[in-house]
Amino acid sequence: MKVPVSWLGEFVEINEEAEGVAAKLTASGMKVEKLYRTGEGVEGIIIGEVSAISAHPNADKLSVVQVRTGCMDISVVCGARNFAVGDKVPVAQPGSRVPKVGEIGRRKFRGVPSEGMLCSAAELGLGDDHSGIMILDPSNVVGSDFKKALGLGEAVLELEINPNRPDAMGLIGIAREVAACTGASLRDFSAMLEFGVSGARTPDLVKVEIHDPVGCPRYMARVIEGVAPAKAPVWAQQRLIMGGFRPISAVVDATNYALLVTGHPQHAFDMDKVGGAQIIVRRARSGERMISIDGAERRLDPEDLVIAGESEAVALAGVMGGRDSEVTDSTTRVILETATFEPRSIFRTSRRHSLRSEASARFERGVDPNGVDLASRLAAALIAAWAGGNVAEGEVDVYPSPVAREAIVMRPERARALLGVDFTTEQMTDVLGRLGLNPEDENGAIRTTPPTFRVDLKAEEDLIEEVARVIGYDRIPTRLPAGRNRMGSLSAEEHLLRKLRRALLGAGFYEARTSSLVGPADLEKIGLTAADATRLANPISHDESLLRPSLLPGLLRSAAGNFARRPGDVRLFEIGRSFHPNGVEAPTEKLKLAIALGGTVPQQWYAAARELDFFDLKGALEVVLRTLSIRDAAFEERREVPFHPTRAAGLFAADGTRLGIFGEVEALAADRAGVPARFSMGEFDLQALLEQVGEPLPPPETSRYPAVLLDLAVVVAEKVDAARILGTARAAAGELLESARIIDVYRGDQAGAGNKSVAISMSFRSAERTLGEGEALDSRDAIAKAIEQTLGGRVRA
Amino acid sequence: MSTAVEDLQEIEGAALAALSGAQSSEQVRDLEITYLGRKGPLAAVGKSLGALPVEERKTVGQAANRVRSLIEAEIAGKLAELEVAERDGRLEAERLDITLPGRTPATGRLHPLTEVLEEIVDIFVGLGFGVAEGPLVETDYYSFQALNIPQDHAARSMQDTFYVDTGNEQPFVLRPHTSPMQIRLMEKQQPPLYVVVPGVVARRDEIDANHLAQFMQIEGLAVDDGISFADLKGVLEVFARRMFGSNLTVRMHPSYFPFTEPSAEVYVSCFACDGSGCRTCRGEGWIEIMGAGMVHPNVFRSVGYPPETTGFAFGMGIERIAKLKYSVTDLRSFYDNDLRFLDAR
Repeated sequence: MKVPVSWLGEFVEINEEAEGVAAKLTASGMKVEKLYRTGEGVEGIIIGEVSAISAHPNADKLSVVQVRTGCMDISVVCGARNFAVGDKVPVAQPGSRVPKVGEIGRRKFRGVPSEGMLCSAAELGLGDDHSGIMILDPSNVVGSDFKKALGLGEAVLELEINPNRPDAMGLIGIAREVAACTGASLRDFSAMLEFGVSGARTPDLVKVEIHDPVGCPRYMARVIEGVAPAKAPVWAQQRLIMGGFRPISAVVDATNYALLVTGHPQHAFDMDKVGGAQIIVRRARSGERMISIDGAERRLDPEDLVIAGESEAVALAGVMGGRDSEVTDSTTRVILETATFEPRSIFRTSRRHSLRSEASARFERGVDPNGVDLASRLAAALIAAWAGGNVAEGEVDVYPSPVAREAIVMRPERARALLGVDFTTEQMTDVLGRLGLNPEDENGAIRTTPPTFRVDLKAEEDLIEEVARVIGYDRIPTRLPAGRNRMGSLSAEEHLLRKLRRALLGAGFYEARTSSLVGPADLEKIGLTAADATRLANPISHDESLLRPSLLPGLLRSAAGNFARRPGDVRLFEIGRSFHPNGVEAPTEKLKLAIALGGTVPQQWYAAARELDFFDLKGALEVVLRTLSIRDAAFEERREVPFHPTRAAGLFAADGTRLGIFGEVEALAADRAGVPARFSMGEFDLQALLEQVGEPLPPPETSRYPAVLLDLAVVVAEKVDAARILGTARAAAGELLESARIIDVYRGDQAGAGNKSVAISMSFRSAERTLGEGEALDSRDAIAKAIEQTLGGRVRA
Repeated sequence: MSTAVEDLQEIEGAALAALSGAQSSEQVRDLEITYLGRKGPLAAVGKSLGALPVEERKTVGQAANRVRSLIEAEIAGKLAELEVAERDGRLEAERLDITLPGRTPATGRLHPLTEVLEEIVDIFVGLGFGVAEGPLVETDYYSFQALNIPQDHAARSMQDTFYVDTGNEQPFVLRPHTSPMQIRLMEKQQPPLYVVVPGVVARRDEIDANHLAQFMQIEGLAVDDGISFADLKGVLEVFARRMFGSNLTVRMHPSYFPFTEPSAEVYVSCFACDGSGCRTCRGEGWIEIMGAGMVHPNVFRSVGYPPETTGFAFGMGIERIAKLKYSVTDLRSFYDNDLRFLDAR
C-alpha cells in the first residue's frame, strides 16, 4: 500500500522526517518496503494541450498527435487513445527524462517523426495505471512545468501489510500504528464526515434484507439523490492514482477514496437500475448469470454471495459490482452500500471466478462490522461534495448480531518469560494503551478490551507480541538456551551418506540434484509410464505433473543437457527420494542413489581419449560397496528396459536382497534421451544398501615371509566368465594362494574363434615360512589342471 | 740408454696431448687402457727394463714411474672434470616442463546446495540440535491444520499448494514447508526437543529466476523449559555470524506467521558491502535470511503439550542462502546440473 506522508498527516501528527517514521514503522512490524518521493526521475516534463489527432499513415495502432506546448506546436506519435482534442497532458520533449523510460530523444515511428512522447501515470512513476495517457486538470497552464504544477516531490511510504492486519489496510489504521510507535497524537478528522441532509429519508427510499446473516453480518445503505456527472477534484484523483485506482467518476472515486482512508470497500449502485429499490443479500440461484463491471459474463455458483434487487443479482458481494447497475453519467440517485462479508465466502468466490479486486483482498482478511458507519459517512460526504448530490436523511442498517469487544488478559510475568526480557508492567501497560487496547489492572494482570477492528488479537500471546513489537525486538537481549544434558549430533545414516558422497567425489563424480516432479515423457525414456507414478491433482505443467518413481529420468536429462553444451565425459550421481504409488495412501518414499556416466574422457598429453562404459560404472559401484563395508554383494545379469539386454546387471546382497540395477543404456533409448552410445547408469535402493552396511573387520594377520608371484594364461570358451575362472582357481589352489586377479582378456587368432585368452596374476605366500618357488609352481599347476578339467580350458604356453 | 728415456718422454707427450684432446670420460678410459694398460707403451718399457744395465735400469724405472704417475693424475683430473660436465648434461637432458598439467585423477564436487546444507546443519549440531527428516507427501493435517493455518488460508488453496491425486478422501499435499515435522516430532516426543529438519518442499509458484516449484528448506525447533525469544535471538545470531561472517549484525522485524507468535523476519547486515548498500542486498544494506518466532500455543495444543510450554521455531530456504553465498543469479541453475556450474566456486 502506498501512503503519501502528507495525506497520513491528516490523521496523525507527523513530528519527524519521513525516514524516521519509516524506520519506526518497519521496526514495529509495519514494513516500509520503500520510501520515495513523487516525481523522482521526472525532468523537463511540461504540460501540453492536444490540438489535433490524426491516424498514423502506416500503423493502425498508432496515431499522430499535435500538441500545443506554449511556444510551438509539436507532433508526437502515440499508441494510447484515451484522450481527446483539448485535453491537457504531460509532454516529454527531447532532452527531458521520464523515470520508467529514460531520456527522451527524437525518433521515427514507422516513418513518422515524433518530437517526444505523451506520458502515462505509470511511466511517470505516479501510480500503476499504464492503460492510457495521464489526463490533467483543465485549469493547468499550457507550457508550465509538470512537476511544479502537480506539486510533486512529496514523500510516499510503500507499506507491506501483514495478512493478519486488515485494520491497517487504510490510512486511519496506519495512522494508529504511527501514533503507537512514535508516540504522536491522532488527529480529529470528524469534520471530514460531515454532510448536510435533504428532506427524503433513506428508509423510505430503499429496503434491505439479509437472507444470509452468516455471509453478511452487516449491511448499511444510504441514498444520495440528485448526483450529476462530475469528476473528483484533481488532488483527490492524484491520491487515487497513487493508491492504485484509476479515476472514473466522482461517485466511484468517492468510494475508492473512502476505501483508501478507512480500508473498508464500499459500492455505489445506480438506484434506478436496482429492481424495486430493494437490496437483498442472498446466495446465487443455480444457473443465475450476471455481467460484472469488467464486462465478463459470470455463471454464478450457489455458494456465491450476491447483492440482488427484487429479482436479479446486481453484484458479486464484496468482489465486484454488476455492469447493469453501475453508476454512469446518467445516474441521478445512488445507493451507497457499506457492508461486511464473511472472509471465507469472499475468498472462495474470488478464487472461483479468478477475480481479485481491492475489495475482495480486504474482505478476505476481515473487515470490522463496527467500522461501517464511519466508512459510510465519509463516502457520503465525499459524494455530496464532489458529485453535488443531496444525502438522504438517516440510513438503513441491518446488523442482526452486533460484534462486541472481548477482554483478553495478559500476565506480565508470562510476557517476561516468553520474551526473555524484564519489561516492567507499567511499560507494557503503556504500550497496550497507546495501541488503544484499553488496559486495566486486574489483580496484577493486565486486562484489555481491544477494538473489534483488531481481528488479529485473540489470545495472551497476541498481546505479548504487541508489547514486543512496539517496544522493539532490538530491546530484547540475546542468550543461548541453557539446555541440560543436551548434545547435538548427526544420525548414523547421515554420517554414512556424507561418507558415501565424498567417496563418489573422489571417484570423479559430480553430485547432481534434480526435481521430484517429472512428466510422462521423462518416464517413457526409462521404459515407465504415467501409471507407474503418483500424479498431482493440480500440476503447473504436464512436464511436472508426476512424482518421480525413479531418479534416473532427472539424471538422464541433466547428462543430456551437458552433452548438448559441450563434448567430453559426464559423471553424475544423485542421492534423493523416489515416490511409489501406494493405492489411496500417500506414496512410499524411498531413498535412492543413482549414478550415471558416459561420453569420452578427452585425450591428454599423457593419455589417449577413452570412452566411459559399463565397467566405469561398475567400478564406481565397487567404491560404494567398499565405502559402506558391504562384502559379498553379487552381480547377476539382468534384462530390463531401458538397459542393453546383454550389458546390464542386478546388484544383490549376500542374503539375496535386490539392491539395484545398472548397465549400459540400450542404443535407441540412449539416442532418444540425447546421451551418447555406451552411456551407463544405475539406480540403487539406498535404504537397503544402508541396511547391508557391515561391521568393521579386525585387521588380517599379515605374513612376514615373502610372496612368490606367478602368472597363468588360459584359453577358455567365450561363455566362461571371469568369476568362474577365479572361483575355480581359488578352489583348486589351496591356502597358499594369497590373491588372484585378471590382468588381460584377449580375443583373436591365437585364442581361436569362440574363445578368449585370460591372463591371471597370482600371489602365493605362506604364513609360516619362506615359500619355495617349486611349491608355488605346484599350486599353479593344480590351478591350471582344474581350469582345464572343469572349464574345458587350455593353458597357453 | 737415452733411447728409453726419450721413449718415455715421447709417451708422456703423446698421452698428455691425447688426454687434453679427450671429449668424454669414455675416451679418457680408452686412453688409460692405451697408455697404462698391460699392452700399452709404459708396460712395454717396464718389460724392457730387465734387458738394461743395472744403473740404467734404475734411472729408466724411476722415469717410467714418474711418467705413469703423471698420466694417472692427468687421467683422474680429466675424468673428474668430464664426469661433472657429463652429469650436468645428463640432468639437463632430463629437465621436465613443469608447466604441463599434472596427471589429475578425475574428482567431482558436492552440489552447492549440499555444501550449504551441511554447513548449516553442522552449525546447529554444534549448538546442540539433532537432525530429522520427514516425507514430502504430507497430510493436510500436518501441513496446515495442526500448524494453526486456518481452512481457506491462501496457502491451502489449489493455487498455492500442490495436491496429490490418490483418490483418498483425506487430501495429501506436497508439503509447502518443512514445518509439518514440528508436529510429527512433538507427537512422538516430550520436551526438551532441539532439532533441525532439512528437506525438499514444493509450492505452486510459476518458475522464474527467483522461484522454483520445488526447493529446499531447513526448519528449526527448540522446545524446553524457559525457552524465550531471547534464546531465539541468541541462536540465530550465532548461526548467522558463523554462516556469513563474525562481524555482521542481526536484526529482527515483527512479522506474521500463523504458527508462531510473536513472529519475526530475520535480517543480517549485508556481508558483501558491510551494510552500505550494494547489488547483493539490492541497496538495502540488509538481507532477509529467514522467518522465525515463538511456537504458537495452538500448535502446542494440537500435539497435546501443555499450553504454557515455550519453544521457538525458524525456517529458511536453502537455495536462497546458497544463492547469496555463491552469488548465483538464477535459482534454476541449482537444478540444471550444468557441470560448468557444479565445478565453479
